[in-house]
Amino acid sequence: VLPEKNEISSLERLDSEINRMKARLNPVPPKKPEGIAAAMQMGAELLAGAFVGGISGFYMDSWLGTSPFLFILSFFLGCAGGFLTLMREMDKKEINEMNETKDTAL
Amino acid sequence: VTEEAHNPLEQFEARKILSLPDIFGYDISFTSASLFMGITVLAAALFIGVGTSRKQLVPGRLQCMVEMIYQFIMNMVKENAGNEGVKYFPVIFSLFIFILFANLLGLVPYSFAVTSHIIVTFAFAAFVFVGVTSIGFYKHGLHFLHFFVPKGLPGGIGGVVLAIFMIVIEFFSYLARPVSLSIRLAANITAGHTLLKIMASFVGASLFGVFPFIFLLVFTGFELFVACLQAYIFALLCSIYLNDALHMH
Repeated sequence: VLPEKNEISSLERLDSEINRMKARLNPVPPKKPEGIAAAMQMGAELLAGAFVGGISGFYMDSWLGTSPFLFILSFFLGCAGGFLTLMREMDKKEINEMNETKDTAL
Repeated sequence: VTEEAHNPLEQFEARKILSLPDIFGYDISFTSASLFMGITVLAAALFIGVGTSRKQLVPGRLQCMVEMIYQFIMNMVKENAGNEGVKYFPVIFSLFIFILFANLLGLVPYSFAVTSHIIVTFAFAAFVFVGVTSIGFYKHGLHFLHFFVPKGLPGGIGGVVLAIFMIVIEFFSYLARPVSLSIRLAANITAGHTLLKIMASFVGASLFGVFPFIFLLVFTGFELFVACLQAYIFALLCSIYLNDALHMH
């Protein structure tokens, strides 16, 4: 009976060791909000980008006297910034989903 | 019933309760917003204080609630900002509990929804923004500026032009963070309360007022959900921003 017990415990040790190494090789990416939480997060992101771009462009214009060129430029750059945030969120979400399907497949 | 009583936006107006003299040209009068912020702090402090006063091994209902919220936020911070983020747990927990209580107290009839004011939510968001940016610079020094340079750019002049372009866009996207954080919370609370008020004004209109009343009942439940969800999203995004500052991406 005794050697068997030892065998099992050593196998368990090996298993936990493998899991530890695996976790070190591919760290779990931070979880993102899901479902309705994610949906609510997205809308404000677009709005905020355009808002920040527009406002900062407007004030830079009145400061440098270049109305309306900086406003137009930075408004579109701000929109691009909003889209960038959005794309990044979606990318992370996709990675999450991929990991989840991988886990269930195993 | 006057015309104003049915104005769905009237509820967001901050009324002066105690007029105080201006300081540096700013009106610092005690308003209904100030009153409800005070009530929120008191209620939150009471909830946590009473809940943790009798530290029993087998927790009662109140202690259980406090412990669950604590565990929930602690796990969220650990998951999203790593173990280094735990240092900043008190700030995130305080923000969460304040916003949660402000949202929930705002749903009580005749009360005032503090978080429907963008200046309140923006103050929180700006505080988080400044704090997180300082942490980033403190931890990484000027290396933190690499945060704005995207990886995998092509070489040559094209790469340089693209880099300048991308840095500007990244900068805007970074600046948009506190704005999106504050707009999201304030807009959700304002929209919910306005819709509740509009629906409520239909209830007494005729015999068919039963239908808006049923809707009102269901929607109040949904608003309770939104109140908790928005507090959670605010705290979650704070810890995600904290993670960006601590570890950079």
